[in-house]
Amino acid sequence: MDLFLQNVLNGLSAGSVYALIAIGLVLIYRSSGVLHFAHGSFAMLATFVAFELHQQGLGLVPAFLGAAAVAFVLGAGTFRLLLDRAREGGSHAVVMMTIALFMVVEGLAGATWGSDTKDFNHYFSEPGIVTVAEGVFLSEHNAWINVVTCALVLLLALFFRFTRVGIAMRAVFDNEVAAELMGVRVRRLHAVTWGIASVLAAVAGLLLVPKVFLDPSMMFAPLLKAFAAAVLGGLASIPGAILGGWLLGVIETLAGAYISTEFQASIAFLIIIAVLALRPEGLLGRRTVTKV
Amino acid sequence: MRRPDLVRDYAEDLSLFEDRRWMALAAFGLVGLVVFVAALAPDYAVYVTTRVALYVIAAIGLNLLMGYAGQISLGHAAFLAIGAYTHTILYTKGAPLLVGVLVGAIVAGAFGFLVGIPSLRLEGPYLAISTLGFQVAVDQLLGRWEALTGGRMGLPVPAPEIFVELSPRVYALLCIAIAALVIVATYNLTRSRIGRAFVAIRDNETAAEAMGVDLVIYKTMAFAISAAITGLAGALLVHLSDSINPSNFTLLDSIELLVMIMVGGLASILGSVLGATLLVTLNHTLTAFRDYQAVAIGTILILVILFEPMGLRGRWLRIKTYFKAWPF
Amino acid sequence: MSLLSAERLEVFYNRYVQVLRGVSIQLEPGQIVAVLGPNGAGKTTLIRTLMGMIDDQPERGEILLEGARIDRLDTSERVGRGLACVPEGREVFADLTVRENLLMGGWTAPRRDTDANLARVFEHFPRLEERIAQRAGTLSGGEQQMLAIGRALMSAPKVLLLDEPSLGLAPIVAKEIFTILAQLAERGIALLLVEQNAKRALELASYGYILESGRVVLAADTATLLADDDVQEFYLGAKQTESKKGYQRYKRRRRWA
Ligand SMILES: Nc1ncnc2c1ncn2[C@@H]1O[C@H](COP(=O)(O)OP(=O)(O)OP(=O)(O)O)[C@@H](O)[C@H]1O
Ligand SMILES: [Mg+2]
Repeated sequence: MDLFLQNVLNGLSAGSVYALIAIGLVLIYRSSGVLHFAHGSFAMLATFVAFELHQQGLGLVPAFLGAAAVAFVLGAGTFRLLLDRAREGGSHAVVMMTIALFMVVEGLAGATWGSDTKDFNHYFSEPGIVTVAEGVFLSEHNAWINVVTCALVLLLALFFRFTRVGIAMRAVFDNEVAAELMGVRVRRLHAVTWGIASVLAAVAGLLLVPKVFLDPSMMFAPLLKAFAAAVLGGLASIPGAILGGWLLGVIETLAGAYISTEFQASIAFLIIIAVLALRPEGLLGRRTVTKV
Repeated sequence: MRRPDLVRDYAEDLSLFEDRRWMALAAFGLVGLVVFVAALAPDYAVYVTTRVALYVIAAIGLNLLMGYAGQISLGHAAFLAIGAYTHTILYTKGAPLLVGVLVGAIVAGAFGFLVGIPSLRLEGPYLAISTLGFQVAVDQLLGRWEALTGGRMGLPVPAPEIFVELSPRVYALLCIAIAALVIVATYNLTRSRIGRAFVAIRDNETAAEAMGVDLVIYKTMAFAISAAITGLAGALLVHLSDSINPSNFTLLDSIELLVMIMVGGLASILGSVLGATLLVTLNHTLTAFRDYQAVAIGTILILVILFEPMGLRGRWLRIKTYFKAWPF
Repeated sequence: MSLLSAERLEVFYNRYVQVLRGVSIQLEPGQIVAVLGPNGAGKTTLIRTLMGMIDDQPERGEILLEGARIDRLDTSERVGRGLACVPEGREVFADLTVRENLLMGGWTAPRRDTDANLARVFEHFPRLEERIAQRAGTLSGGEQQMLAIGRALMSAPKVLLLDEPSLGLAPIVAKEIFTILAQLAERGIALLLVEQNAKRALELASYGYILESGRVVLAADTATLLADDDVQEFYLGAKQTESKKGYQRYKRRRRWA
């Protein structure tokens, strides 16, 4: 039983990272209808930026802040310069644009930093152990992951509930034309949404990097799982994405413990396909009717 | 001021543009290519030409699905893989080459049919994710199912043989012939009832259904035909080296196929040919810049989407119009 | 100088479909002006053009607010200068609460005015205050219409453009809404009222335009319009006297159809 709890807890920690990435995917999809395949690449780039800044002698906190700023500008700028125009070319053009970005960013990162892996250990990877209950432990790193994720989720909830910009973002998700009629500059708001989403992804990258190695493809598998999490939640629901992330993390860890660790990525996609087949609107989603 | 000669009717206008001249040009090009491959080309050029021919087939397969029927697939390299592995296994066990290739295409088509089923309920973004999932799952399965696929090490591929062993030159000619067949066949398909049904689904699914296009049949058919054509290319690809392994058929290869048809032009056979030719050639000439290959391809794609949404074919049409109206 | 005036507006959709063919209208402070016309006449298009919601339009013509050209400003700036809109079909933010909907209406207004604006809206629509925390999507149709009007009022507009505010409402609710519109005009807000319910609109308004196929075919004060035979027949549904010959009817219908 304790072992089971232990696995669930570890699964939640893994799932937190997926959730952070998935929230960004959902934000971007809801605001601008873009499925962002370069989302993980942006996170990877931001993590490299933090690493480089730290190498240059900057403290970890300023390095992290610098990475977050870069992520924000990258996300917002991408929407303004590239995606907004690609949207005019239809849905294929949009998907291909983010795929092209994925290739460019990962390619450039590979050319700049090489594909040999680097270690990037920081605060969160202190080797300590936190006792959660008798016989159930959490590594200090996983504890950090969960705390940071929960704090960000809470912050985001407050932001969307109580700030002007947050409410306006929800209004835009809800009815873009009406929001424009109220005088909201919708495109600017989309860009901010992209920026916030990219910052969340950057945090996910920074949280994850001590567990994996720092290399250009470090965010690829997590991105795939975040897609699975987002679909689990219905692709348009932020609570759904969080729940989906945690669920996926737990299922994956349990499957790894009791069945096989070999097919983890396939398990994620089996889940996606099952959800899509049985409940395309996601676990929490509401069915929407598309008008002709 | 002089005006260009009046074109008297629409058919004449089209004939200037399309069919007859263009067919003559294509036939001429084909003969040139055959002579080049058969006699003149150095070995490496023969190899590259064969790859071009095969990727033309694969790109046409994907374009049929995405350009004509409007369904996105991020997993077409998986169909390449299915065709390749099926053929390799059969061929190793002694099946004749063309039989193995044909069965490879059919098995890929069957998988295409299966992947197409969820497309009946899913729209754009979900389909992108589920085909991506298919790609990743096939990739993992090929790597793990060692008894069948040889795992990450892959499988050895015996030399191509139809009664006698085929030299690379002869094999190249075979591939070019098959590519030409596929071009003619898909060209006719797109002008048939089926092709029109695909386009109707792409342009407005609900309206197409209301007009009597059976979505269940035509959508799964689009997936199956597309996957079979791509599987055919996959099966023929194996003989370009002496072994295959999963790293030949990754997500990046799927993306490369997508780039080919985006750069060439969606919903265009000519576009698929141009896109595949350009990309394969780039791959084999930019080897010195290996590190920047993905960057270059991605950049091209971005520029195409921003400035020439119709791809190379759009450019080509514009150039043709320019010459037609010359000197104005 | 009028508060809002549009001069010879010409508007195209997709570059070649012309929907407005030289429409001119005037609006004074505190005035209610009705715009009537059959389906597809271009009434909604007129409102969308005034709000700057159609990219790169009007093709020709000018829009002036307090004497200043606004036709090349974006929607946000027009709202900031005192234009507000209650769109066709209400278009409230269904997932947001009533309060959040109202806050969105005040997006361009100074933040220190928010409370005063809220109070003013609640004065007109006490029912919204009762339902302040309710999700707008769960409001009744009449309440949603009130919310849409209240939301537009949150920017303290000088001109309010209303696109069929009584659409789909029970007569008694529509009447309630029209009473409130009259109160708004008394407070000096100019109202441009697009309506299918011609009778009620003409009773409320002091001036009216009749729009057909993108042209103003008749413009007069409402007393004149109410007395006009054609308006009576085609908008108020009055029965014609026997003496009218079929031939005349046909000719007249051509002008209106
Ligand atoms: N986005 C658009 N693209 C192309 N044509 C449009 C568009 N919107 C409206 N139209 C056309 O413009 C014309 C005027 O439409 P509009 O909505 O302004 O009419 P309306 O007077 O508001 O009609 P109703 O009384 O039915 O609301 C119609 O013929 C309509 O088909
Ligand atoms: Mg209308």
